[in-house]
Formats: sequence, C-alpha cells, structure tokens
Amino acid sequence: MTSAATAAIFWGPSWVTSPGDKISGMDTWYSGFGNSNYAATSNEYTGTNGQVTSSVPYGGHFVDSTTASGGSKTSAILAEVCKVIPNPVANGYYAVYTDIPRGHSGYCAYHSYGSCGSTPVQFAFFWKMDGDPGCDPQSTVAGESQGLAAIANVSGHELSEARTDPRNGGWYDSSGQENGDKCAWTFNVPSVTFSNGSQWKIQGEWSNNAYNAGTGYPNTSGQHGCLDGH
Amino acid sequence: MKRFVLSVSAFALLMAITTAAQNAPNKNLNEPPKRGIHWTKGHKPSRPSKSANMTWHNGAHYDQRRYRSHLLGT
Repeated sequence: MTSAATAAIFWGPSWVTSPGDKISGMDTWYSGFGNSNYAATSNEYTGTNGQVTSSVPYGGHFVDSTTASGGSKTSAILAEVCKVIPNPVANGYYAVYTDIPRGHSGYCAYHSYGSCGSTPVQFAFFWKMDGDPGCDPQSTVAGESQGLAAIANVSGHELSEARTDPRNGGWYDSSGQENGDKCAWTFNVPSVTFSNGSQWKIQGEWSNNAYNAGTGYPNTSGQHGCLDGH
Repeated sequence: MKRFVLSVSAFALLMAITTAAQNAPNKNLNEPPKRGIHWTKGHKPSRPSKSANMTWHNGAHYDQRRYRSHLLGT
C-alpha cells in the first residue's frame, strides 16, 4: 500500500471497564507511526500502484463492548471490521485488539485481508498480551504498561507487513516470510522514537537494501537485513 | 444370510458417509488467510529461507500447501 489509512478497534467488554493505558497508548503509537523513520524502513518496496510511503494517517479508535471472538477464524475478525468501521476504504488497515488472552495459541497476532461489501480492506488481529511472556518484548521504556508495550511491538510487525504485502501478492521471501516475520523478536536498541516523540521498544523490519549493503542489524538467522529507523 | 445382509448394510452405510463427506462444502473456503503470523518467542515454525531477499510477487498468492509439498520432496 503506498499509503495506509489506519484505525484501531478495541473489541471486548473489558475495554470499557478496564482499558488501562492501552487505548490511549495505541492512539499515541498510531499517531506517531506515520512519517516516522521506523515507517520509512518499509519504503523501499514498490507495487503495481507505486512505492510504499511513510504516509500512514490514523483515523482514531473504536470500542466495541460486545464479546470478542478469538483469532481462529479470520472471517470473524473481518466481520467485526465491517461492522464497526463506518466507511472502510480500499487502503484501510484496521487493527482489531481483543481482550482475550491467547491461551495455548502459538502466536500473538496476524494480518489478513478481505472485503466489506465491494470495498477491499486489510486488517489484523491481536490477542490480549498482558502478562504473556511469549509476546512480551520486555520493554524498559518508562510510562507504559507491559501489555501496552507488547501490543505496540507486535503492531509494528503487522502494520509493516500489511503495507508491503497487503493482500498476499506483495513482498515476501521464498519461505513466505514478510518483512516483519524476518526480523521478529530482534531489537537493535532499547527504544525507537516515532514522529510524535513517543518511544517504543519495537522490532526491526527487513530491508533488502540494507541486507545487500550490509548495513542492517542481524535477525535470528544472523542475516544483517533488519532496520528500525532509530 | 443374516451376516451377509449385515455386511452389505455396513458397506452401504460406509459408502454413504464417504460420499457425503466428499460432497460437503469446505467451510474454510471463505476464510481469508492468516499472513504475517507473529509467533510467540521461541516458537519456530518457519523454515530458513533459501534466499534472504524478499521479492515482489505481482499479486501471486503465497501457497503454503505448495511449499509444504516442496519441503517433503527435498
């Protein structure tokens, strides 16, 4: 996507009763993602409609207090997006944060795509990650809860992938790994500063250019192609 | 004779179940694929890439089933 129009959906009754710092924190996260150096780490990639840019406007958040589904059915997440977003757009990226812990699921989040009526949309699903060591980046950034730090880090992964491989025909390697997958759980610095000054512990994103130039930091396979824009 | 009738009935029932199963619609046909799964720390489901670089796929979808078959053949 050359430009991704983002919005967040907080799905589940506990987002009303006990949101903690996560809703306001993710508002800050999305507001600062656009035009950040971190966003620019995905800008080398092009598609049929042009080059990815750091233009990632944030349309704000929606709270749906009905009981959320888990992540097993992507169609349920798509249905939630279509229910909640009043006017979805074709370059829309809608992040659905649920209040359900992942339990025995082996993943923290994923992204996907579909259509609301005749409008194609991109979306992502996130478990609740409070107290979940499997999804915890172990951030030392002051002033944020562990649960917020966890969904913030994973959000960087999913949004970057949706920008470069929005509908599963974009950029990925021979194993099917997208730019976030290739740098998952690798952190170059304790915190990255976004365009609004907010700071986050966040994984890098894969850059072919950095890998070929030898200027990236290594992923878990020792390949020096990760960038975080710090 | 009774045993024969029972055997034929059992076979007919098995065939009916098999046929029904083959004709059943795939409930996952309308499920958008999960992409970019952010696995938990220490969970390593993916295989090392043959090539580090990513490439543009011009709209061609990544087919996990094809990749799995390829792995079995290597």
